[in-house]
Amino acid sequence: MPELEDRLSALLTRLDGTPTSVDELSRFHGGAARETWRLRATNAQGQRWLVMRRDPASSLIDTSRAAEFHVLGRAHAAGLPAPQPLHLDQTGADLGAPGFLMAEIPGGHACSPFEPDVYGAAAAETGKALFTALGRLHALVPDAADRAALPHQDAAGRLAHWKAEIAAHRLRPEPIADAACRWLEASIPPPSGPETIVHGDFRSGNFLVDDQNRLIAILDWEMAHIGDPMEDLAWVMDPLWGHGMEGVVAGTCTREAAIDAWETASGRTFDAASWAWWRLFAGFQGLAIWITSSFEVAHGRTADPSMIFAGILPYRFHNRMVARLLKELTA
Amino acid sequence: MSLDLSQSLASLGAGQAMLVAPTLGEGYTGKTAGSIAFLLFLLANGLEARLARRPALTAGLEALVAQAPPAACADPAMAAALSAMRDTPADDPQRFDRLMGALAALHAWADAADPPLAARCLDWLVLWADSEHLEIPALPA
Repeated sequence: MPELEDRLSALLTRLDGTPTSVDELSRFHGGAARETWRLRATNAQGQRWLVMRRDPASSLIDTSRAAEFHVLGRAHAAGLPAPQPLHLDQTGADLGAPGFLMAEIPGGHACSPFEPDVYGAAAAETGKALFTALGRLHALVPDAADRAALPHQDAAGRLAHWKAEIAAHRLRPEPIADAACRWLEASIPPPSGPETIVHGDFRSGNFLVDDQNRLIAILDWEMAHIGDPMEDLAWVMDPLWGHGMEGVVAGTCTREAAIDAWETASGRTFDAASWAWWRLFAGFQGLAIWITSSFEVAHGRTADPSMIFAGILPYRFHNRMVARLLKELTA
Repeated sequence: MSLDLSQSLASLGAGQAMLVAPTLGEGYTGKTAGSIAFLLFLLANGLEARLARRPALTAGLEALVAQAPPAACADPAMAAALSAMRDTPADDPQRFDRLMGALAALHAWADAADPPLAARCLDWLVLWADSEHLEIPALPA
């Protein structure tokens, strides 16, 4: 990718005010919402590893890179394990497509949520760190800058958003998603507490651990918004992200331990009734994302295997989970 | 045919995993090739069993839609779905989607007007979703 290296060299030379070269450019596998690239920048001050995230030709979800850039900076400044954002390119003039640059957090890897026991003997500690970090995020009080940069989406707003996505992208009848939507619309819960910054895609696979399985970074903030913290708790506890393991959440710790860590760090109280609504919503949101992915594949806009996979396994998983949950909720 | 669909997909997956992916290394292209192998195994896993279950499920769906009471059939969304279904021959590949469209309309009507019928719609959807569920396959070492 010499053209991209030249482009990044020119950008970093401009930003750093000194000639800067770029090499070792490589694309990360996965991550269907953004193209993610790793690169090494070298100049008279030394050398550093950076990460570029930019819009792909086709995406699972249409999200604002400005919102992602803002929330990364907010989380990083608050001391949460999040990469430091460095440069936002809203137009694509610098990066070839709209996106941003951030510092790399070295030494970490993300685990597949479809493989069991990936966090090993440290799983309970990994879970405690994960849900503590989530609690610390939810302890932040949205300020004026947050409210200006991030979309505001309460339960009704989130539901309307994904309902519209399904309506725009369905390829065939979706009776389970439709039935879930009717139940969710009729049962919208009151807020579980004061609004907060919601990560929006907080789950196993979207955080990095080191070789001891210690949490070192939370990634993929592109769906962040102002909303209800139960949304993040329901999504991270969704069985799709559970590594196929019964009795633990996100392949890490028990649900009780997760809630305890989250309550301690957030100063909030877990709202079981609200969470039950968000649990079904998580499956509905999943269906909306997988239906959108299928639409993109069916229309020849992408051949990325992660998009194809989304339309096959997660779609069927959530169809089954949502149908069973509806049975339980309407019994 | 000497290989059934499931065997064909699994064989292609094995070729992709053992012959193609290793030559491309651990970078983006190699991992993408590995993902394609995984997808082939995923689709192959239990395919014949899923296909074998479909006729019975479709018959159950036909029977369920046929139970629609006159009040449901008068509902505009249901009437449109039934019309589309009746215009689609039994051997048309779109027949199942038309039936699902009718079920979706019937379920929506029943949710508001006929809870026992709504429960039967949901029961069928649970059966269907269970039948379509895919297990993550064990990949060859």
